[in-house]
Amino acid sequence: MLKTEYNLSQGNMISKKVILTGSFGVGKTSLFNQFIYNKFSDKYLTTIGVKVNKKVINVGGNDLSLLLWDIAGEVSQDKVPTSYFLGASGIIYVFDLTRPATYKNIEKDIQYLNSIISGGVIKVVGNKIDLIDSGNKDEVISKVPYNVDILTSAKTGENVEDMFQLLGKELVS
Amino acid sequence: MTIDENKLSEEDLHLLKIKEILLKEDRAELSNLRNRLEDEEAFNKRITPYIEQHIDHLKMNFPDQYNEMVSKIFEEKLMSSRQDIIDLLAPSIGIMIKKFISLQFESLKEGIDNQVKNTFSAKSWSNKFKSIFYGVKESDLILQEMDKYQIQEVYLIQRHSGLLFGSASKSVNLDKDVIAGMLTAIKSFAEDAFQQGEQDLDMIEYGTYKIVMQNFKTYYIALALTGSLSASDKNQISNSVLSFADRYLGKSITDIDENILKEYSNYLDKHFINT
Ligand SMILES: Nc1nc2c(ncn2[C@@H]2O[C@H](COP(=O)(O)OP(=O)(O)OP(=O)(O)O)[C@@H](O)[C@H]2O)c(=O)[nH]1
Ligand SMILES: [Mg+2]
Repeated sequence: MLKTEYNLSQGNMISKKVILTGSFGVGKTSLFNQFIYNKFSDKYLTTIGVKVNKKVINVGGNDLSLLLWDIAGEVSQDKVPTSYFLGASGIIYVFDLTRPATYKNIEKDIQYLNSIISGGVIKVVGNKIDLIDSGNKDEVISKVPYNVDILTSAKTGENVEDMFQLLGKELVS
Repeated sequence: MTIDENKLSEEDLHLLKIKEILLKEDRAELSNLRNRLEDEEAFNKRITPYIEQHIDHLKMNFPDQYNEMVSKIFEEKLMSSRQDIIDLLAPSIGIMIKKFISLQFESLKEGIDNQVKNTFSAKSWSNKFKSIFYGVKESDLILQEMDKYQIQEVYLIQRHSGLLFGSASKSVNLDKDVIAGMLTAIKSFAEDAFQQGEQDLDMIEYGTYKIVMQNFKTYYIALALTGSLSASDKNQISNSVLSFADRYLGKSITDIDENILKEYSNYLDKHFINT
């Protein structure tokens, strides 16, 4: 029997693997939960191992299925099992705007990540923007020794959707 | 009578001289020996071959000469520490037995449930005929079939990314992408953590499920099974996986899209689920 629910008008959806990484406690899981379930919690439950989930976004009229790997934070990226990064098309590198320790290694980390997924897209995300006074914003950012792609808040949801859109666009282009 | 000291000492001197002359060689030998004994290196050099020889001899003849004594000591030790050993082993043996029994019960129960459900199925009628014609008890036939493994789900997964090429299953399951991803994450973790050469994780047991995985260069195939798995079952599954790969997976896939997913899901369904 032919499956009638097959919708031909739908574009040909492709799937991509994306890793959320960065130091611990920067808000990777919170961004993941905000993006997938529109939920936020103040509780800090550190991630053990990996949590995988999926969300389909629409990029330029085409569906893109993002398989997101939320991994346990590490102070330095070379401590993350390399196999997690294999086959990833994109990496979201998250740091905490309120904790300089989470961005002091950023240059070294990004360089390392670039060497692991050559050709993949890496986005640098400053999270917890809700905790920074709008007057202090520029000063805080000027201290980050790397070009920041977007500032987000997993708590208020600010720029969370946009961050994944930004990545999605580059993944299909 | 008095002793003439001079004379005596002269005599003594003579005696000494004679001694010296007569014992010269022995003296030299003695000091030579003493030197050898005191010089550790030289001593070791001389003695080691003998010790080694003796050890070799012991090695060759140990069982003969000491067997009885050692086994007696062993026996005594064992008897006196029986309780200790039981305490040491009991928990793990207990757990093993418990796990085994509960597993057996579970599969028994599951099997009976299924058999009851299928009482009026064609198979059950064919069993009835079989038992009438061949004189085998029907329950024996049921027992035979009961615990045969069943493939519940099958996944074709890109090796490192964990992205799904295709899947098929007996029941509806919405989270296949996520399952494929998690499975790959677990696999990566295990293979990373217990890195031993090129060893792969090839089986995970979860509740009544067994997930059997077979790796290829750019993808792997994971089968979720229920029921018990014998070595010959494993072999059979492995052959089936290989024949699937041989038949459908000649070309390499780089981009995964919906068409790929449909195509391979179909193949998987035909080959593993609705055969
Ligand atoms: N105010 C504020 N708090 C946040 C934000 N994002 C995360 N948090 C809090 O920061 C803490 C850590 O967040 P997680 O999302 O668990 O951090 P993580 O990066 O996943 O941490 P690990 O799993 O340990 O690597 C939690 O208490 C969150 O509630 C944010 O945007 N704003
Ligand atoms: Mg986390």
